[in-house]
Amino acid sequence: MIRKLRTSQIQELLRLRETGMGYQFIEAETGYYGTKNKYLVLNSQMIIDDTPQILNEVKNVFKGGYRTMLFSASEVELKNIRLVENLSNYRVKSFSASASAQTGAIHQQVKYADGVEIFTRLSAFEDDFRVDTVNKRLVAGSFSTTFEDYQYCKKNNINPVERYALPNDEDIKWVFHVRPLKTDTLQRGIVEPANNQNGGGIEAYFANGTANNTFLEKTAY
Amino acid sequence: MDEKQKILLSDELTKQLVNTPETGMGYHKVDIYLKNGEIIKNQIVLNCSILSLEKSININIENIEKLVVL
Repeated sequence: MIRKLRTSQIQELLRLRETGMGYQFIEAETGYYGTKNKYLVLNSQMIIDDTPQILNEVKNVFKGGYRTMLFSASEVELKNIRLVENLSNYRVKSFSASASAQTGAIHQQVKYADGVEIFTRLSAFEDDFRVDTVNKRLVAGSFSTTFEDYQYCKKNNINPVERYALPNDEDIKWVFHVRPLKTDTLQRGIVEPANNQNGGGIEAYFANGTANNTFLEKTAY
Repeated sequence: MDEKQKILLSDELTKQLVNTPETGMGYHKVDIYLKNGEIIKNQIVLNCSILSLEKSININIENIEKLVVL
């Protein structure tokens, strides 16, 4: 089962260390009887019960899109949260193998943008060549992350080079915000380990780029 | 991270990379084909324009025949 935490509990999760980039294994109590269960927590916000179906549920999150799945998830309140080393049905190794093999955006289903969501491209370069500033669009074959994930990264002082598995030895200094139209397509996934970095951030791949006038603004990171 | 040398690619190669899908956000992973037949494999180009190479690799930008994105 996929559920989401309230804002106050997200803050509680953020105070605990990550098990891996972008996820935590926890044990907590729910409900009136205080039943103790284990959970996988994604992005300190979405929780997935440790059941034999957990791997399929994680895949569904990657396929359906984190934001979409979060929107439809019901809220749950957890008590006595503590980190655990492993889940019963989802060992660290299987999670890592899954992440490295299948989570990247290019492996995911092509979907249309909703015309509302903003995507953010991080760069060490002010003149990022994949942002066409004349037509105000991303060029074909470009990656970005979601604005939401960018905010999460920045707010929690996470190194974007690690989270997005970048090869940079220069700091990220610039961000480019893009709002694709409903006619634009994208693939959304989780950054796979690469370039000696763990990845774990959300990435979106625009095989055809975005429509003209979708580039909103450039700001300092 | 090891120190790297940064080599600015020609406008022509940059244009080629702008028109080729990225490997990840802001970079391409490429094999470099030199005019002398040598191939330098698995290198990184940042922002379609800056070749990031180990300092021990010595190449002249004019000797690059082509880049093949992996």
